[in-house]
Amino acid sequence: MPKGKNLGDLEQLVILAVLRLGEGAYGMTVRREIESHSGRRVSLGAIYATLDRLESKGFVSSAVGETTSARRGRAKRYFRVQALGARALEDALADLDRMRRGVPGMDHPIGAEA
Amino acid sequence: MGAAFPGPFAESALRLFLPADRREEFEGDLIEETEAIVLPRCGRRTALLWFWWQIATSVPPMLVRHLDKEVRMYPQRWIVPATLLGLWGLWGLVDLGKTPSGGFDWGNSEVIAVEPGGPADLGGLRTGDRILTMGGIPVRDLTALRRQPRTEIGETTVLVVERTDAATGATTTENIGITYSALPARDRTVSIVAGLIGFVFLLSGLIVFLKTQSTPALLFAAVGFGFAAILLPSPYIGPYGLRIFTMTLFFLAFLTGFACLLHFLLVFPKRKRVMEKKLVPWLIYSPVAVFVAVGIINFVVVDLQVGTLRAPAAVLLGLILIGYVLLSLGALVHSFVTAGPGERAAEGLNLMLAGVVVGLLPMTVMMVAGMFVRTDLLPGGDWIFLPLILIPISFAAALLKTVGSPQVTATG
Repeated sequence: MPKGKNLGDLEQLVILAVLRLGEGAYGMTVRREIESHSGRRVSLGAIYATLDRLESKGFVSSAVGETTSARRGRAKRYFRVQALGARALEDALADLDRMRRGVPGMDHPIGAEA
Repeated sequence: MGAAFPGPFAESALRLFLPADRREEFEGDLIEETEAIVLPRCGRRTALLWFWWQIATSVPPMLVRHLDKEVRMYPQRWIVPATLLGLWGLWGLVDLGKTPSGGFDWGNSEVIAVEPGGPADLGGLRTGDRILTMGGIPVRDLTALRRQPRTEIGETTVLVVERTDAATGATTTENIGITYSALPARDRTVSIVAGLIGFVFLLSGLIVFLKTQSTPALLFAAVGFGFAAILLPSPYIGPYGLRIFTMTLFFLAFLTGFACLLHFLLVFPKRKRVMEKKLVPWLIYSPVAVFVAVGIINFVVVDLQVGTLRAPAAVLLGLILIGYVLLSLGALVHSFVTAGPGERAAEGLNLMLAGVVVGLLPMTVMMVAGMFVRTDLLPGGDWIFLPLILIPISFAAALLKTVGSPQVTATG
């Protein structure tokens, strides 16, 4: 694997959250998505730092969005997963799948838990 | 809805600490979540708490990310502080010729050692004398003493000492004039050799970092900088404030160097699981933060009465340094034990372990011994730092070995 292609724990969650959110993925929604689905409390700054790192690796891209009154005129920044990022995520999850195969009590595909 | 979020205070805090390139969207997200989601659900007080908690926990990761990006984008910027430190060291080397020596050591008002044939010896000072005043200033007043300019070569300082005759038990007071001379050749050689080792630290860090901008390389460069800061001879700075300021700065660079050494060994050659714990990176650098705070208080707010604080502070510092050294060693040994023989060679672990053990052991032994006995009485004390030179060389070799190797991930 080329250098820097391994995804960290939080990086995987962030990519998954951006994928789940589709068109509506920006800092706050990514944070809430992770918190509500995984229960992990992550600060907004940690989300931004992770997104920034993913962007510099070419795994996600971003674009400035609209401003709203609820944001006191501050623009949003929307994120989107790039093909490279999707592949890195798949590789990471596939690694996990291979590793859990044959482990007693863990031997079921991801997503099949009761 | 009240206009409390973000509020002028929060806004200026954010402006001060958040990198400009993501500030607007960050603020917008924070305001939106606080007002639209947290406020209606939990009430005003909780929302306010939540808001500030987000800011407090958001600034560090964003700041670290920003600095990390900057450093990686412009690695050649590292040349500037490294060159400045190198020039400082050169100036210090030149200044060695002008450094005065009184030829005696003292601590806790008592004369500990007198160099035979040195200026103090010629003036009649003896080991065991209790110093009352130096140049008219009571030695108990360490702050006033520190403020004094150094006695230049050829100048005479008068010491008033109390001397108890061992045979009769009679106590006399003596006036002793000490005419300062240049540093003895031996002291100068020690300083020059220490300076050369400092340059090796500085240069190896710089070279490795310019070759690869990985996180371990950056940490290693910081280690090199910190150790160079303490090993290079410092020139004498006349103005008191500036002198204390540079001393504080160099001390903090040194302490940061130790913290970075531990951090380095926790992520190189492989990132250890313990780094995944949220608190660990904070814990590594917390002693630095404590001493930064002490330094600021000392420098800006009050001139601390070092006399009363010196002993506990020295013990605390000794414990912290020993902690860094032992944890660093532990991390390295862990890497060594968990790696296979092939990996040990490929990742340079053999080299590093040999370098660290041989490099640090004598100093560690000395530090531990220093808590119980006076280190100047131990043999070879002057040259205890000599093996340190193995550390930068072995680490740089190990880092350069793994450049481009797939196992070392770049991100931290």
